[in-house]
Amino acid sequence: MEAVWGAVKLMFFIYGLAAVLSLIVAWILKILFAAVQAQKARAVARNAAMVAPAAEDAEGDKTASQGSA
Amino acid sequence: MPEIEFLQIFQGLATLLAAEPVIALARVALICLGIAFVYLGVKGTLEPLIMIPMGFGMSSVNAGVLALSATKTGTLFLDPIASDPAQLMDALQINFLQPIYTFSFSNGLIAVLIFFGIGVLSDIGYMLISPMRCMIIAIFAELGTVLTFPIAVALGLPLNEAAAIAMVGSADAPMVLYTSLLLARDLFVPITIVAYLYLSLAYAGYPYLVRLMVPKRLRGLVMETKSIPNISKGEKITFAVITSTLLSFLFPVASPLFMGFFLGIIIRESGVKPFIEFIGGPVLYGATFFLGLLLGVLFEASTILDPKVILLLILGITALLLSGIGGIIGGYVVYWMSGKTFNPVIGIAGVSCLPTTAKVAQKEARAANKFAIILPWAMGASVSGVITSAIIAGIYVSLLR
Repeated sequence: MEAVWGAVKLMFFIYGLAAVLSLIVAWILKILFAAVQAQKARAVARNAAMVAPAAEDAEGDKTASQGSA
Repeated sequence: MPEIEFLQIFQGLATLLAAEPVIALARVALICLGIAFVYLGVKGTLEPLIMIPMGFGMSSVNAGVLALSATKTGTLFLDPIASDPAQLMDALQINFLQPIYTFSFSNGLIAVLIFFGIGVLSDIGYMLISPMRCMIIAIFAELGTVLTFPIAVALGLPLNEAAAIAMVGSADAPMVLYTSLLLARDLFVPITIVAYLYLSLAYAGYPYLVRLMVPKRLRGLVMETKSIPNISKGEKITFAVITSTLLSFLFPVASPLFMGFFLGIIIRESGVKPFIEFIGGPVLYGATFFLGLLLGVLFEASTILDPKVILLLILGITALLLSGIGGIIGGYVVYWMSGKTFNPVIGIAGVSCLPTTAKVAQKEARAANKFAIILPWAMGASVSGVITSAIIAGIYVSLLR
Protein backbone atom coordinates (compact mmCIF):
# COMPACT_ATOMS: atom_id res chain seq x y z
CA MET A 1 0.00 0.00 0.00
CA GLU A 2 2.86 2.31 0.85
CA ALA A 3 4.51 1.56 -2.49
CA VAL A 4 1.31 2.41 -4.35
CA TRP A 5 0.89 5.66 -2.44
CA GLY A 6 4.52 6.48 -3.22
CA ALA A 7 3.88 5.77 -6.91
CA VAL A 8 0.79 8.01 -6.87
CA LYS A 9 2.81 10.87 -5.39
CA LEU A 10 5.57 10.26 -7.95
CA MET A 11 2.96 10.25 -10.71
CA PHE A 12 1.71 13.71 -9.71
CA PHE A 13 5.27 15.01 -9.59
CA ILE A 14 6.13 13.55 -13.02
CA TYR A 15 2.91 14.79 -14.62
CA GLY A 16 3.34 18.25 -13.14
CA LEU A 17 6.97 18.53 -14.21
CA ALA A 18 6.20 17.25 -17.70
CA ALA A 19 3.33 19.73 -18.04
CA VAL A 20 5.49 22.66 -16.95
CA LEU A 21 8.33 21.71 -19.31
CA SER A 22 5.96 21.13 -22.22
CA LEU A 23 4.37 24.53 -21.68
CA ILE A 24 7.84 26.11 -21.53
CA VAL A 25 8.60 24.56 -24.93
CA ALA A 26 5.31 25.94 -26.31
CA TRP A 27 6.08 29.31 -24.76
CA ILE A 28 9.56 29.38 -26.39
CA LEU A 29 7.84 28.68 -29.66
CA LYS A 30 5.32 31.46 -29.13
CA ILE A 31 8.00 34.01 -28.15
CA LEU A 32 10.18 32.99 -31.07
CA PHE A 33 7.32 33.30 -33.50
CA ALA A 34 6.28 36.67 -32.08
CA ALA A 35 9.88 37.94 -32.29
CA VAL A 36 10.24 36.86 -35.91
CA GLN A 37 6.89 38.41 -36.84
CA ALA A 38 7.87 41.68 -35.13
CA GLN A 39 11.19 41.69 -36.98
CA LYS A 40 9.39 41.09 -40.27
CA ALA A 41 6.97 43.94 -39.55
CA ARG A 42 9.91 46.27 -38.72
CA ALA A 43 11.67 45.30 -41.95
CA VAL A 44 8.55 45.99 -43.98
CA ALA A 45 8.10 49.37 -42.28
CA ARG A 46 11.79 50.24 -42.86
CA ASN A 47 11.55 49.31 -46.54
CA ALA A 48 8.40 51.37 -46.90
CA ALA A 49 10.12 54.34 -45.23
CA MET A 50 13.11 54.01 -47.60
CA VAL A 51 10.90 53.70 -50.68
CA ALA A 52 8.82 56.81 -49.87
CA PRO A 53 11.71 59.42 -49.93
CA ALA A 54 13.17 57.74 -53.01
CA ALA A 55 9.83 58.14 -54.78
CA GLU A 56 9.67 61.77 -53.65
CA ASP A 57 13.24 62.38 -54.98
CA ALA A 58 12.30 60.82 -58.30
CA GLU A 59 9.22 63.04 -58.47
CA GLY A 60 11.38 66.09 -57.66
CA ASP A 61 13.93 65.21 -60.37
CA LYS A 62 11.13 64.82 -62.91
CA THR A 63 9.72 68.28 -62.05
CA ALA A 64 13.19 69.82 -62.28
CA SER A 65 13.94 68.31 -65.64
CA GLN A 66 10.52 69.41 -66.96
CA GLY A 67 11.23 72.94 -65.66
CA SER A 68 14.62 73.17 -67.36
CA ALA A 69 13.26 72.01 -70.72
CA MET B 1 25.06 -46.92 -45.58
CA PRO B 2 24.84 -45.49 -42.04
CA GLU B 3 21.65 -45.87 -40.10
CA ILE B 4 19.55 -42.73 -40.59
CA GLU B 5 17.31 -41.47 -37.83
CA PHE B 6 14.30 -39.53 -39.07
CA LEU B 7 14.40 -37.02 -36.20
CA GLN B 8 18.12 -36.40 -36.76
CA ILE B 9 17.33 -34.95 -40.17
CA PHE B 10 14.38 -32.83 -39.03
CA GLN B 11 15.79 -31.27 -35.88
CA GLY B 12 13.06 -28.64 -35.51
CA LEU B 13 10.57 -31.45 -35.11
CA ALA B 14 12.94 -33.40 -32.83
CA THR B 15 13.38 -30.46 -30.44
CA LEU B 16 9.62 -29.90 -30.44
CA LEU B 17 8.93 -33.51 -29.46
CA ALA B 18 11.72 -33.53 -26.88
CA ALA B 19 10.63 -30.27 -25.21
CA GLU B 20 8.44 -29.98 -22.16
CA PRO B 21 4.75 -29.98 -23.20
CA VAL B 22 4.22 -26.35 -22.14
CA ILE B 23 7.21 -25.15 -24.18
CA ALA B 24 6.16 -27.27 -27.17
CA LEU B 25 2.61 -25.91 -27.05
CA ALA B 26 3.89 -22.33 -26.68
CA ARG B 27 6.15 -22.85 -29.71
CA VAL B 28 3.25 -24.09 -31.83
CA ALA B 29 1.02 -21.25 -30.57
CA LEU B 30 3.68 -18.65 -31.46
CA ILE B 31 4.21 -20.14 -34.92
CA CYS B 32 0.44 -19.84 -35.50
CA LEU B 33 0.36 -16.32 -34.00
CA GLY B 34 3.28 -15.26 -36.23
CA ILE B 35 1.51 -16.54 -39.33
CA ALA B 36 -1.68 -14.74 -38.19
CA PHE B 37 0.30 -11.47 -37.85
CA VAL B 38 1.67 -11.86 -41.38
CA TYR B 39 -1.83 -12.54 -42.70
CA LEU B 40 -3.36 -9.56 -40.84
CA GLY B 41 -0.45 -7.35 -41.95
CA VAL B 42 -0.84 -8.31 -45.60
CA LYS B 43 -4.59 -7.79 -45.31
CA GLY B 44 -4.01 -4.34 -43.81
CA THR B 45 -5.85 -5.01 -40.51
CA LEU B 46 -2.59 -4.55 -38.59
CA GLU B 47 0.32 -2.26 -39.54
CA PRO B 48 2.06 -4.17 -42.37
CA LEU B 49 5.43 -2.39 -42.01
CA ILE B 50 5.93 -3.94 -38.59
CA MET B 51 3.63 -6.94 -38.50
CA ILE B 52 4.89 -8.75 -41.62
CA PRO B 53 8.58 -8.95 -40.56
CA MET B 54 7.63 -9.42 -36.89
CA GLY B 55 5.14 -12.22 -37.55
CA PHE B 56 7.50 -14.00 -39.92
CA GLY B 57 10.41 -13.65 -37.50
CA MET B 58 8.22 -15.05 -34.71
CA SER B 59 7.11 -18.10 -36.67
CA SER B 60 10.60 -18.78 -38.08
CA VAL B 61 12.42 -18.59 -34.73
CA ASN B 62 9.94 -20.86 -32.99
CA ALA B 63 10.09 -23.37 -35.81
CA GLY B 64 13.87 -23.27 -36.18
CA VAL B 65 14.94 -24.58 -32.77
CA LEU B 66 17.79 -27.07 -33.06
CA ALA B 67 20.08 -29.05 -30.75
CA LEU B 68 23.19 -26.93 -30.16
CA SER B 69 24.79 -29.60 -27.99
CA ALA B 70 23.73 -32.83 -26.29
CA THR B 71 21.95 -30.90 -23.55
CA LYS B 72 21.24 -27.49 -25.03
CA THR B 73 18.78 -26.29 -27.66
CA GLY B 74 18.72 -22.91 -29.37
CA THR B 75 18.54 -21.14 -32.74
CA LEU B 76 20.91 -19.63 -35.29
CA PHE B 77 19.13 -16.26 -35.15
CA LEU B 78 20.51 -14.45 -32.11
CA ASP B 79 21.32 -14.77 -28.44
CA PRO B 80 19.81 -11.80 -26.54
CA ILE B 81 21.57 -12.56 -23.26
CA ALA B 82 25.14 -12.92 -24.58
CA SER B 83 27.10 -10.24 -22.75
CA ASP B 84 30.41 -11.78 -21.69
CA PRO B 85 32.99 -10.75 -24.41
CA ALA B 86 34.02 -14.31 -25.33
CA GLN B 87 30.42 -15.49 -25.43
CA LEU B 88 29.47 -12.43 -27.48
CA MET B 89 32.27 -13.04 -30.01
CA ASP B 90 31.02 -16.61 -30.46
CA ALA B 91 27.46 -15.42 -30.86
CA LEU B 92 28.52 -12.80 -33.44
CA GLN B 93 30.13 -15.51 -35.54
CA ILE B 94 27.30 -18.02 -35.25
CA ASN B 95 23.98 -16.15 -35.15
CA PHE B 96 23.15 -14.36 -38.38
CA LEU B 97 21.11 -11.53 -36.77
CA GLN B 98 23.49 -11.08 -33.82
CA PRO B 99 25.50 -8.21 -35.39
CA ILE B 100 22.34 -6.16 -36.03
CA TYR B 101 21.02 -6.94 -32.55
CA THR B 102 24.26 -6.18 -30.71
CA PHE B 103 25.28 -3.08 -32.64
CA SER B 104 21.91 -1.43 -33.23
CA PHE B 105 19.21 -2.89 -31.04
CA SER B 106 20.57 -3.45 -27.56
CA ASN B 107 22.02 0.08 -27.44
CA GLY B 108 18.84 1.84 -28.65
CA LEU B 109 20.34 2.96 -31.98
CA ILE B 110 17.43 1.51 -33.94
CA ALA B 111 14.93 3.62 -31.95
CA VAL B 112 17.00 6.75 -32.63
CA LEU B 113 17.17 5.93 -36.36
CA ILE B 114 13.39 5.66 -36.43
CA PHE B 115 13.21 9.00 -34.63
CA PHE B 116 15.44 10.52 -37.35
CA GLY B 117 12.91 9.30 -39.88
CA ILE B 118 9.92 10.56 -37.88
CA GLY B 119 11.64 13.95 -37.64
CA VAL B 120 12.13 14.09 -41.41
CA LEU B 121 8.45 13.28 -41.93
CA SER B 122 7.21 15.80 -39.32
CA ASP B 123 6.32 19.34 -40.31
CA ILE B 124 6.79 21.26 -37.09
CA GLY B 125 5.09 24.22 -38.75
CA TYR B 126 1.74 22.66 -37.85
CA MET B 127 2.65 22.95 -34.21
CA LEU B 128 3.54 26.62 -34.69
CA ILE B 129 -0.04 27.38 -35.74
CA SER B 130 -1.15 27.23 -32.13
CA PRO B 131 1.62 25.96 -29.86
CA MET B 132 -0.12 26.42 -26.50
CA ARG B 133 -3.33 24.69 -27.57
CA CYS B 134 -1.41 21.82 -29.18
CA MET B 135 0.71 21.38 -26.07
CA ILE B 136 -2.28 21.45 -23.70
CA ILE B 137 -3.86 18.65 -25.74
CA ALA B 138 -0.58 16.71 -25.72
CA ILE B 139 -0.32 17.00 -21.93
CA PHE B 140 -3.83 15.62 -21.48
CA ALA B 141 -3.06 12.84 -23.97
CA GLU B 142 -0.32 11.59 -21.64
CA LEU B 143 -2.92 10.61 -19.06
CA GLY B 144 -2.35 6.91 -19.73
CA THR B 145 1.45 7.31 -19.60
CA VAL B 146 1.25 8.59 -16.04
CA LEU B 147 -1.91 6.95 -14.62
CA THR B 148 -0.82 3.45 -15.64
CA PHE B 149 2.34 3.87 -13.57
CA PRO B 150 0.68 3.59 -10.09
CA ILE B 151 -1.77 0.99 -11.45
CA ALA B 152 1.18 -1.18 -12.50
CA VAL B 153 2.82 -0.69 -9.10
CA ALA B 154 -0.47 -1.68 -7.42
CA LEU B 155 -0.47 -4.85 -9.54
CA GLY B 156 2.95 -5.78 -8.22
CA LEU B 157 5.49 -4.43 -10.74
CA PRO B 158 8.58 -2.64 -9.45
CA LEU B 159 8.84 1.09 -10.23
CA ASN B 160 11.20 0.73 -13.22
CA GLU B 161 9.06 -1.94 -14.93
CA ALA B 162 5.88 -0.01 -14.12
CA ALA B 163 7.31 3.09 -15.83
CA ALA B 164 8.44 1.07 -18.86
CA ILE B 165 4.97 -0.40 -19.47
CA ALA B 166 3.27 2.93 -18.69
CA MET B 167 5.22 4.45 -21.62
CA VAL B 168 2.94 2.44 -23.96
CA GLY B 169 0.42 5.20 -23.23
CA SER B 170 2.64 7.60 -25.18
CA ALA B 171 1.72 5.56 -28.27
CA ASP B 172 5.22 6.07 -29.56
CA ALA B 173 6.73 2.63 -30.10
CA PRO B 174 10.42 3.64 -30.60
CA MET B 175 10.14 5.66 -27.40
CA VAL B 176 8.71 2.61 -25.60
CA LEU B 177 11.59 0.50 -26.91
CA TYR B 178 14.19 3.04 -25.82
CA THR B 179 12.68 3.50 -22.35
CA SER B 180 12.21 -0.22 -21.69
CA LEU B 181 15.80 -0.91 -22.79
CA LEU B 182 16.99 1.54 -20.16
CA LEU B 183 14.48 0.76 -17.41
CA ALA B 184 13.47 -2.88 -17.74
CA ARG B 185 15.90 -4.73 -19.97
CA ASP B 186 14.44 -8.15 -19.08
CA LEU B 187 10.98 -7.09 -20.20
CA PHE B 188 11.79 -4.92 -23.20
CA VAL B 189 10.81 -7.58 -25.74
CA PRO B 190 7.26 -8.24 -24.46
CA ILE B 191 6.73 -4.53 -23.68
CA THR B 192 7.77 -3.42 -27.16
CA ILE B 193 5.72 -6.15 -28.83
CA VAL B 194 2.69 -5.14 -26.74
CA ALA B 195 3.28 -1.52 -27.80
CA TYR B 196 3.48 -2.31 -31.52
CA LEU B 197 0.55 -4.70 -31.38
CA TYR B 198 -1.71 -2.23 -29.64
CA LEU B 199 -0.60 0.68 -31.80
CA SER B 200 -1.69 -1.31 -34.82
CA LEU B 201 -5.03 -1.84 -33.13
CA ALA B 202 -5.32 1.81 -32.04
CA TYR B 203 -5.96 2.86 -35.62
CA ALA B 204 -9.01 0.59 -35.59
CA GLY B 205 -10.14 1.31 -32.01
CA TYR B 206 -9.71 5.08 -31.56
CA PRO B 207 -12.46 6.08 -34.06
CA TYR B 208 -15.00 4.28 -31.82
CA LEU B 209 -13.66 6.15 -28.78
CA VAL B 210 -14.01 9.46 -30.64
CA ARG B 211 -17.59 8.65 -31.67
CA LEU B 212 -18.39 7.60 -28.12
CA MET B 213 -17.03 10.76 -26.49
CA VAL B 214 -17.73 13.50 -29.08
CA PRO B 215 -21.23 14.10 -30.46
CA LYS B 216 -21.58 14.37 -34.24
CA ARG B 217 -22.39 18.10 -34.03
CA LEU B 218 -18.97 18.79 -32.46
CA ARG B 219 -17.08 16.27 -34.61
CA GLY B 220 -18.10 18.22 -37.68
CA LEU B 221 -17.14 21.64 -36.26
CA VAL B 222 -15.52 23.68 -39.05
CA MET B 223 -12.35 25.56 -38.09
CA GLU B 224 -11.08 28.80 -39.59
CA THR B 225 -8.26 27.86 -41.96
CA LYS B 226 -7.50 31.45 -43.02
CA SER B 227 -5.83 32.11 -39.66
CA ILE B 228 -3.01 29.63 -40.35
CA PRO B 229 0.20 31.73 -40.37
CA ASN B 230 3.01 31.32 -42.85
CA ILE B 231 6.04 29.95 -41.03
CA SER B 232 9.49 30.18 -42.55
CA LYS B 233 12.11 27.43 -42.58
CA GLY B 234 14.41 29.62 -40.49
CA GLU B 235 11.83 29.82 -37.71
CA LYS B 236 11.34 26.06 -37.70
CA ILE B 237 15.09 25.39 -37.62
CA THR B 238 15.63 27.93 -34.83
CA PHE B 239 12.86 26.31 -32.78
CA ALA B 240 14.29 22.82 -33.34
CA VAL B 241 17.81 23.88 -32.29
CA ILE B 242 16.65 25.74 -29.15
CA THR B 243 14.20 23.05 -28.00
CA SER B 244 16.56 20.14 -28.62
CA THR B 245 19.40 21.87 -26.79
CA LEU B 246 17.18 22.80 -23.85
CA LEU B 247 15.65 19.32 -23.50
CA SER B 248 19.02 17.57 -23.89
CA PHE B 249 20.41 19.87 -21.23
CA LEU B 250 17.56 18.95 -18.87
CA PHE B 251 17.49 15.20 -19.63
CA PRO B 252 20.87 14.03 -20.96
CA VAL B 253 19.72 10.41 -20.70
CA ALA B 254 17.06 11.00 -23.38
CA SER B 255 19.26 13.30 -25.49
CA PRO B 256 19.76 10.68 -28.27
CA LEU B 257 15.99 10.71 -28.83
CA PHE B 258 15.79 14.51 -28.81
CA MET B 259 18.77 14.75 -31.14
CA GLY B 260 17.32 12.17 -33.52
CA PHE B 261 13.91 13.80 -33.75
CA PHE B 262 15.03 17.42 -34.02
CA LEU B 263 17.92 16.67 -36.38
CA GLY B 264 15.35 15.00 -38.64
CA ILE B 265 13.29 18.20 -38.53
CA ILE B 266 16.34 20.37 -39.30
CA ILE B 267 17.31 18.16 -42.25
CA ARG B 268 13.76 18.38 -43.57
CA GLU B 269 13.71 22.17 -43.31
CA SER B 270 17.24 22.61 -44.66
CA GLY B 271 16.00 21.14 -47.94
CA VAL B 272 19.05 18.92 -48.56
CA LYS B 273 17.16 16.52 -50.79
CA PRO B 274 19.62 13.59 -50.80
CA PHE B 275 19.62 13.53 -46.95
CA ILE B 276 15.83 13.84 -46.78
CA GLU B 277 15.36 10.97 -49.23
CA PHE B 278 18.01 8.83 -47.49
CA ILE B 279 16.66 9.31 -43.94
CA GLY B 280 12.97 9.29 -44.86
CA GLY B 281 13.51 6.22 -47.08
CA PRO B 282 16.26 3.62 -46.50
CA VAL B 283 17.08 4.66 -42.90
CA LEU B 284 13.48 4.82 -41.65
CA TYR B 285 12.16 1.80 -43.54
CA GLY B 286 15.35 -0.22 -42.98
CA ALA B 287 15.22 0.44 -39.24
CA THR B 288 11.49 -0.34 -39.11
CA PHE B 289 12.01 -3.60 -41.01
CA PHE B 290 14.83 -4.81 -38.77
CA LEU B 291 12.99 -3.64 -35.65
CA GLY B 292 9.99 -5.77 -36.61
CA LEU B 293 12.13 -8.75 -37.58
CA LEU B 294 14.25 -8.65 -34.43
CA LEU B 295 11.22 -8.25 -32.17
CA GLY B 296 9.64 -11.28 -33.79
CA VAL B 297 12.85 -13.30 -33.49
CA LEU B 298 13.14 -12.35 -29.81
CA PHE B 299 9.63 -13.60 -29.13
CA GLU B 300 10.48 -17.18 -28.26
CA ALA B 301 8.31 -19.57 -26.27
CA SER B 302 10.15 -18.81 -23.03
CA THR B 303 9.22 -15.11 -23.38
CA ILE B 304 5.48 -15.68 -23.56
CA LEU B 305 5.60 -18.09 -20.64
CA ASP B 306 6.69 -15.26 -18.36
CA PRO B 307 3.60 -14.67 -16.16
CA LYS B 308 4.24 -10.93 -16.39
CA VAL B 309 3.25 -10.94 -20.08
CA ILE B 310 -0.49 -11.21 -19.29
CA LEU B 311 -0.09 -8.28 -16.89
CA LEU B 312 1.75 -6.29 -19.56
CA LEU B 313 -1.05 -6.98 -22.06
CA ILE B 314 -3.65 -5.62 -19.62
CA LEU B 315 -1.55 -2.60 -18.62
CA GLY B 316 -0.66 -1.78 -22.25
CA ILE B 317 -4.28 -1.55 -23.37
CA THR B 318 -5.16 0.39 -20.20
CA ALA B 319 -2.43 2.93 -20.94
CA LEU B 320 -3.53 3.48 -24.54
CA LEU B 321 -7.21 3.71 -23.60
CA LEU B 322 -6.52 6.25 -20.84
CA SER B 323 -4.34 8.33 -23.17
CA GLY B 324 -7.08 8.34 -25.81
CA ILE B 325 -9.66 9.45 -23.22
CA GLY B 326 -7.22 12.06 -21.87
CA GLY B 327 -6.56 13.41 -25.37
CA ILE B 328 -10.26 13.91 -26.04
CA ILE B 329 -10.72 15.57 -22.63
CA GLY B 330 -7.84 17.88 -23.68
CA GLY B 331 -9.70 18.56 -26.93
CA TYR B 332 -12.76 19.59 -24.91
CA VAL B 333 -10.66 21.81 -22.62
CA VAL B 334 -9.26 23.69 -25.63
CA TYR B 335 -12.76 23.78 -27.17
CA TRP B 336 -14.04 25.65 -24.11
CA MET B 337 -10.92 27.83 -23.86
CA SER B 338 -11.24 28.93 -27.49
CA GLY B 339 -14.87 30.00 -27.14
CA LYS B 340 -16.17 26.81 -28.80
CA THR B 341 -14.30 27.35 -32.06
CA PHE B 342 -11.86 24.42 -31.69
CA ASN B 343 -12.89 20.95 -32.87
CA PRO B 344 -12.51 18.61 -29.84
CA VAL B 345 -11.81 15.61 -32.09
CA ILE B 346 -8.27 17.03 -32.48
CA GLY B 347 -7.70 15.81 -28.91
CA ILE B 348 -7.21 12.22 -30.08
CA ALA B 349 -4.26 13.40 -32.23
CA GLY B 350 -2.41 14.40 -29.05
CA VAL B 351 -1.77 10.68 -28.57
CA SER B 352 1.44 10.89 -30.51
CA CYS B 353 1.14 7.98 -32.88
CA LEU B 354 2.37 10.26 -35.69
CA PRO B 355 0.62 10.60 -38.16
CA THR B 356 -1.94 7.84 -37.51
CA THR B 357 -3.99 9.59 -34.82
CA ALA B 358 -3.99 12.86 -36.80
CA LYS B 359 -5.42 10.94 -39.75
CA VAL B 360 -8.01 9.32 -37.46
CA ALA B 361 -9.06 12.79 -36.24
CA GLN B 362 -9.39 14.17 -39.76
CA LYS B 363 -11.30 11.10 -40.96
CA GLU B 364 -13.81 11.33 -38.11
CA ALA B 365 -14.32 15.08 -38.60
CA ARG B 366 -14.79 14.59 -42.33
CA ALA B 367 -17.26 11.76 -41.78
CA ALA B 368 -19.37 14.09 -39.62
CA ASN B 369 -19.07 17.11 -41.93
CA LYS B 370 -17.39 17.00 -45.32
CA PHE B 371 -16.26 20.64 -44.96
CA ALA B 372 -14.42 20.07 -41.66
CA ILE B 373 -10.65 20.39 -42.22
CA ILE B 374 -8.71 19.85 -39.00
CA LEU B 375 -5.58 18.04 -40.20
CA PRO B 376 -3.12 20.97 -39.69
CA TRP B 377 -4.12 21.32 -36.01
CA ALA B 378 -4.23 17.55 -35.56
CA MET B 379 -0.68 17.23 -36.93
CA GLY B 380 0.39 20.02 -34.57
CA ALA B 381 -1.10 18.16 -31.61
CA SER B 382 0.64 14.95 -32.73
CA VAL B 383 4.07 16.62 -33.01
CA SER B 384 3.50 18.17 -29.57
CA GLY B 385 2.65 14.71 -28.32
CA VAL B 386 6.03 13.39 -29.51
CA ILE B 387 7.80 16.17 -27.58
CA THR B 388 5.72 15.63 -24.42
CA SER B 389 6.29 11.85 -24.59
CA ALA B 390 10.04 12.39 -24.89
CA ILE B 391 9.93 14.70 -21.85
CA ILE B 392 8.06 12.09 -19.78
CA ALA B 393 10.45 9.36 -20.97
CA GLY B 394 13.36 11.59 -19.91
CA ILE B 395 11.83 12.13 -16.46
CA TYR B 396 11.07 8.43 -15.93
CA VAL B 397 14.56 7.33 -17.00
CA SER B 398 16.30 10.07 -14.97
CA LEU B 399 14.34 9.19 -11.81
CA LEU B 400 14.10 5.42 -12.01
CA ARG B 401 17.13 4.12 -13.89
